[in-house]
Amino acid sequence: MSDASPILAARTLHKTYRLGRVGVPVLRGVDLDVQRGEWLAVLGASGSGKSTLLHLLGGLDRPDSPAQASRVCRRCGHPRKHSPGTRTSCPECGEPHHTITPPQIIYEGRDLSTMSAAQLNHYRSRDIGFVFQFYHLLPELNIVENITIGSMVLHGRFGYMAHRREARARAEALLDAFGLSHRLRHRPRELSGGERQRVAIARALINEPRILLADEPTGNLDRKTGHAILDSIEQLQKSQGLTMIMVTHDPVIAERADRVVRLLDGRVVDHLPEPAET
Amino acid sequence: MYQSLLNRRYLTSKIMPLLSLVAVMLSTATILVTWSVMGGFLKTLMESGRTLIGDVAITWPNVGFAYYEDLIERLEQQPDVEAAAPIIETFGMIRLPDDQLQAVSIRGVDGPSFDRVTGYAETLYWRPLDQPTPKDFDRQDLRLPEHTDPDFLARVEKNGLMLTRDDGLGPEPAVVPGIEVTGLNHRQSWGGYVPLTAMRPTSTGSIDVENIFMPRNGSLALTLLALDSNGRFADAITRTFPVANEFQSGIYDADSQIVLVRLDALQSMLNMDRAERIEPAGPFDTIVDPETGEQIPAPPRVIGIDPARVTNVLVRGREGVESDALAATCQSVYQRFAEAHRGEVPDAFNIVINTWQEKNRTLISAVKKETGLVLFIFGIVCFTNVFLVLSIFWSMVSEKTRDIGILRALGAGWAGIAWLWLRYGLVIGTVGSTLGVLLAWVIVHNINPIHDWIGRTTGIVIWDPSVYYFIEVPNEMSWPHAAVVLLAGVLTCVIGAAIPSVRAARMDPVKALRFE
Ligand SMILES: Nc1ncnc2c1ncn2[C@@H]1O[C@H](COP(=O)(O)OP(=O)(O)OP(=O)(O)O)[C@@H](O)[C@H]1O
Ligand SMILES: [Mg+2]
Repeated sequence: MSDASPILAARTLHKTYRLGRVGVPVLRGVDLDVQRGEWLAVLGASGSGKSTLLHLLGGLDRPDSPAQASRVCRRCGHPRKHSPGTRTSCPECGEPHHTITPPQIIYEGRDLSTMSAAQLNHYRSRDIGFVFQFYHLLPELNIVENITIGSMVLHGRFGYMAHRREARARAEALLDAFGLSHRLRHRPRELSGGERQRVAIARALINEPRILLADEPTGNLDRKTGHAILDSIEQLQKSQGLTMIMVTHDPVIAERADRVVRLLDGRVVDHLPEPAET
Repeated sequence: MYQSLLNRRYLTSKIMPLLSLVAVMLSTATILVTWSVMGGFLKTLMESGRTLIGDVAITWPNVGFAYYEDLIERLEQQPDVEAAAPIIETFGMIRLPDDQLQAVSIRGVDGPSFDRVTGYAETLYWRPLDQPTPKDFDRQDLRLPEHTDPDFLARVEKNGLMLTRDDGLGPEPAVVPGIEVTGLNHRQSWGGYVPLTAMRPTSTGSIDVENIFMPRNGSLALTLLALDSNGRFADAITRTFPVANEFQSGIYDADSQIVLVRLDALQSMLNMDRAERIEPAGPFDTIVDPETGEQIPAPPRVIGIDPARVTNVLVRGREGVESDALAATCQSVYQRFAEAHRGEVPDAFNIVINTWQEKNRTLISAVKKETGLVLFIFGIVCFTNVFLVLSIFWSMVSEKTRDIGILRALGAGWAGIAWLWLRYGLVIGTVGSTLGVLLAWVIVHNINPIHDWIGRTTGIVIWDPSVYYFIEVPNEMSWPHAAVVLLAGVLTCVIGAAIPSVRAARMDPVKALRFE
C-alpha cells in the first residue's frame, strides 16, 4: 500500500432513515478520501448527517445498497414506484431519478462491506477510535475501567490478561496527558462534562487506533479547555501518525485542521471559507 | 473479560439484580425446605410402614401352614436371609377395662424372633428413659426416672419383648396392644403419652375409678373365631390376657388396630397348635385297667399328629438385599420345602409371597402422590422464576441499551453481548441458588427450634404432636435434592435471561447509541 493511497475512502454513500413509506434521505452520495495522518474537519448544520457519516465510516452502520437507496426519491424522500422505466423523475419534487452505484467504504484497500461480522468488530476495536457527541461512558465503571474496557473488548478473556498491565499503563498515561490523573477511581457522574469528554477521548485512543472518529469532541467545552484538549490530541496525531476525522460546528476549531469539508445536502463538498458561516 | 467486569459492577451498583438474586434465593430455599421436610415425613412414614412386617412375608391366610420351623430353618440357611419369624394374622375383638368392645387385628408373635425380623423391641413404648424426648422440655415424660422406677420399666420392657407378665403366679402369656388401641393413653403436646384412669359407672350410679396402668395391672379379654385345619368355623373363644407393654410403630393405623399376642397362646386358642389326631374307639372296644384289672371302655386311638401352624413367615433380608431378590429366594426355598412336605403344606404355586412394598402398596402410592405434588409445586416455582428473571432482565437490558451500543461501537460482537447477559443470569442464578440452598440448610437444620419458637411467640403450632403422629419435624436435607434444586435455580435464571440476551445481541448498535 503506497503512502499516496487514502487510508479511508468512501464512495457514493447513501443513507436513508425510514419513517413508514416516506424516507429521510440523510446522505445522498458522499464521496470522501482521507489521507494518512490527515486531520480532517467536517462541518455541517445540525441534522445534516455528520454523526450518521461517522457511524458509517466506523463500521457501526451500513450504507444503503443501491436498491435500498432507490426506494425513495433521493431529494425529498417520496416513495418511488418500482416498475422500471415508468417514471424518470420524482412526482413530488421533480428530481430526476439516478441510477446509484454500489457504496464502498475502503479501509486500507479493503471494502468494509466484504468483511465478516467478526472482522468488522475487529476493525471497530482495533483500527477505529470513536469519540461520541455525548461522551457515552459506562456509568457503572470508574474512569480507568471506562478506558481499559476498550482493550478488554479487543483482546477477549485470555488476551487481556497478557495486556492488562500495558493497558492500564496506557490508560493512566492518557489520563495524565489530559490532566485527569487524580481522578482514576471516580465514576463518570462525578466528573464535569469536559472531564467526561476527555475520558471518552482517552478510551478511543486506548488501542492505538489508526483513525480517530471524533463527533464534536469539544462541543461541550469552553474554548480554552477545548483547545487544550485539541493540543494534546494533535500531539498524538503528529507523533503517532493518527488520522483524525473530526466533526465540529466551530469554524475556529476547524481552522486547526489540515483540511475542512462540509456536509451539504447529503454530500461532502470542499469547504470554501465564507463570511456567511456560523 | 469485559463481561465479568460489567457483571460485577452491575451486580454491586444496581438494586434490580439484587432483588432478582433475593427472589431466586427465597424460591430455591422455599422449595428445598418443603421438599426436605415433606421428604423427611414420607421417609419416616415409609420406614414405619416397614416396621412390624419385615421385608418379605410368606403367607397362607387363615388356615396357616405347618412345618414352619423347617421352613424357617431352610430360609435362615440362605445367604440373602438375615432372619425369619413365624406369625399368625387374624381378627378378633377385645374388651377394654371399661367394658368397651373393639374389633382389632391380631398378630401372634414370638417376641425374640419377631424382633430379629422386624425390630419390634424398638417399638415398645414403656421402657426406661434417661433423656427426655425432644419436645419434652419440662421433663413430663412418665418414663423418666423421676416419675417411674426405672427397674419397673425395665421389667415392663422385658415383658413386652417376651410377651409375658408375672403377676406373682408365674409368667403368663400376655398381649402387647398398639399404644392407641385402648384409648387409655392420652397423647400430649410434647409428643408422649400419659395413661388415663379407667372409669366405669357402677350399678349404684356412682363412677368407679380404677387405678389401672395397663402394663402393671391391666388386662384385655380377647375373643377369637377358631377354625379347624380345613378352614371350617370351629368355635368362638374368649380368653383374658394380661397386658405386658404397648408398642408404637409410627403408623397410626397399626398402633390403633393391632394387638400382639404370644404365638403359642394364640395357636392354642385357634386350634393351630400341635395336636394328636384321634379316632374314637369302637363301642365294644375295651382295655384292661392296669391298676384295677377291670375291663373299661377303650380311650380314643391316636392315629396321627397335626403339627402346629402359622399363617405367615416373615423374612428379613441381609443389608443391601433388594426385597424382590429376597422374594425370589423365598419362592425357591418354599418350592423345596413344599416338595419335602408334599401334600401337607400348600404347594409352591399357591403360596402367597409378598414384599413389604407390595403389602404397603396404598401407603407407597400415597407417598408417591405426595412426592408428585412436591415436584408439581417445584415446577410451578421454577416456571415463576423463569418469568421473574425474564422480566427483571428485560427491563435491565432496556435500561442498559446505551451501554450495549457503546460496547458494540468499541468492537464487541453480538455473541459477546449475548454472553454478557447470559453470564449475568448465570451469576445471579448461581449466587442466588447457592445462598438459597444454604438458607434452606440453616432452616431445615433448625426447623424444630424455629417451629418451637414460632409456637411460643405466636401460639401457632403447625405440627402439633398431640394431633399429628410424629414428635419432631424431620430436619435432614438430602444433598441430591439440594443439587437438583440448585441446578434448577441456575437453569431457570439462564433460561429467563436467554430471551433478554438475544434481544440485547440483536440490537442495532446505532439505535442503541441514540437511545434516550
Ligand atoms: N433512527 C432515525 N430515524 C429517523 N431519522 C433519523 C434517525 N437517526 C437520525 N435521523 C435523522 O438523520 C438526520 C441526521 O442525523 P445526525 O445525527 O447524523 O445529524 P448531525 O449532523 O450529527 O446533527 P448534530 O450536529 O445535531 O449532531 C437528522 O435529521 C435525524 O433526525
Ligand atoms: Mg451529531
